[in-house]
Amino acid sequence: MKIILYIISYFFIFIKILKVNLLQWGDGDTFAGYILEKTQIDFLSLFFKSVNSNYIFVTGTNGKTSTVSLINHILKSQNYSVLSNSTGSNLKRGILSAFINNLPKFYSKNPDFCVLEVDEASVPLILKSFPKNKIFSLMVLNLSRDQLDRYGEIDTLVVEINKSLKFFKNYNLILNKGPFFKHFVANPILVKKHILNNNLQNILKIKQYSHLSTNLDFILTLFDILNIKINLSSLSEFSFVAGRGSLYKKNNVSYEIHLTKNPVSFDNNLLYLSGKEYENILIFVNDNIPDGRDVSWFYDINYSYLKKILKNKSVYLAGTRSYDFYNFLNILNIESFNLFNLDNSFDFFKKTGAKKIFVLSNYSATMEIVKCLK
Amino acid sequence: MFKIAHLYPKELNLYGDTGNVYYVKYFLNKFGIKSGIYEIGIGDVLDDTYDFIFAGGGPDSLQNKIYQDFLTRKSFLIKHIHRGKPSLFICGSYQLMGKYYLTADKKKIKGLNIFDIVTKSPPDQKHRLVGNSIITLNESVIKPNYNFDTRIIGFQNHNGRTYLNSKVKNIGKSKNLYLGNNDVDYGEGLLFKKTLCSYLHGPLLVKNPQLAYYLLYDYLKNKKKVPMYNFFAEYISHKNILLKNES
Repeated sequence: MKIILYIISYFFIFIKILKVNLLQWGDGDTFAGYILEKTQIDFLSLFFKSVNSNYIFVTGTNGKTSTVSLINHILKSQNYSVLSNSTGSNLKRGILSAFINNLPKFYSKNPDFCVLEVDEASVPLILKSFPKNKIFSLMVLNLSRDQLDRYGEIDTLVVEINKSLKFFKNYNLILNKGPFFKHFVANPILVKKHILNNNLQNILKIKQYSHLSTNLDFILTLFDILNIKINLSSLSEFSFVAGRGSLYKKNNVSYEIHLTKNPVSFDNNLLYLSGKEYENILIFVNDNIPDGRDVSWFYDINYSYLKKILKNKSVYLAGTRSYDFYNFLNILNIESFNLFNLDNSFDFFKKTGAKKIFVLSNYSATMEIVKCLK
Repeated sequence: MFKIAHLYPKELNLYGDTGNVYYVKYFLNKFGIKSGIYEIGIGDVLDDTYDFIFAGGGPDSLQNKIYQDFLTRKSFLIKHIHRGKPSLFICGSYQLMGKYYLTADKKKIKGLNIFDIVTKSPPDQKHRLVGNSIITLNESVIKPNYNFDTRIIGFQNHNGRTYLNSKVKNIGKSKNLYLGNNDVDYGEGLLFKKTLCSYLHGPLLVKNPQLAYYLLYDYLKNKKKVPMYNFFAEYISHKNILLKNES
């Protein structure tokens, strides 16, 4: 079976090269997964069965991509081989693509670790394909209201994750003692404030109010379970994925991009912003498929933070749902100016001679702005 | 001062429902009418000084928490609704306005029995009624007397199917059979005097200012306020969502 999977991997890598380099159609990252997902064969199950490794699944509403990329960095710095969907494509097709794109690297030797970021709603689907006799670790970083159109109620999501865990005997479920803790299956591993957390926060320059400060305890708990010591000196070389506070410059204007995709991350970024010098804030919100088509979540942002923190700032809006955000701020009596799209925004900031822009953008908006600024 | 009662904001706040009370305040302010939002939690006093009642929907666990307290509000709510005072109930609170809610495991949860409706939950959670809805307003019950779209938009996500007795009027007809009150007829929501019940979550009134206009029309008329207001920003947003969902 394994040889067939390798042949399929090589075939898709060839297609990807053809598609991206010759035809210049998209980035091709999840193309293979998209095609395999359409077939009647459970390819994911075949990959899980064929690739023997230490499986680590990371899920939760906020901070998955950063957590996975930090775990990968720590493991790689200690010469462990890792197969991962580190680009953040965390639906079934993204995980399938991670296997396809990486399998040739692991032809002679299985990866030491498979670190996979999994969308919260996809956890039951992924575990359904996972061999019931294999061991895995599942980290549920946090759960809060996100896209209602995909996840439904969090209660329902927890029920579904629990149902899928009942088929397994050996797994490490790593949880924080949050509001949903008691609803999970018995005997999870509880995350506690780790002695190394503050050291790591300082080395990684993690911003205050970031989810990553809590998620570090998950990482430290995981490494305790795996019995791997973290080499702190290697962490100084680590950099976060684009959009998590990354800085860019265009036309002499600096842009600091913060992914802000749900009420909790919006509130956290507002709190972070409260102590900063920024005068200009660009709120950039789309409603493309990865963002969710419904943007009612705006109305779950903390109103008093918004009023307090955006007061006396210049607030600009862009994106496919900028009108909705304009209405929202208007109702709260917060003045804003709709620039509609990115081109207008770049022109406007250039003409007005703005020096720094603090950008709060949801998922597809972050991808869009980073692509333009890179 | 126009008093807006927001029932159980900590528990029934599934997805931006709170936006509705803020929009009522904003809307009245456009007519120079001052209003205040009062959060009514479990055990808090709710009397007939309130002009507008709002309750949203919440996850099952939190709806269970407020259930007993909500039942004690029955006589007040009946009085408020029958006097023709405006109120809005979304999703979970809408379901509780009926005779009962039959859960997936056949447990009958008593409602306030204010309206002749019942809600039943199918055993399979996978068939939730989820998606963006376009509802054509039932013109016999809502006659927008200004130049605004007769369609309303919103997002719904519920498992319970609500069935209205034939004498109970709905708000309008859903474009999609599998969205709205249930999956056997096209009706969405319920309308009685100036009370609206709906499955459309989130800032329903912001997305559809014609509903806010309908609910507050009598009050504005009594106050001798000219019921005219420029909805331009809301209108653009409304059109934008309509276009997206029609394409």
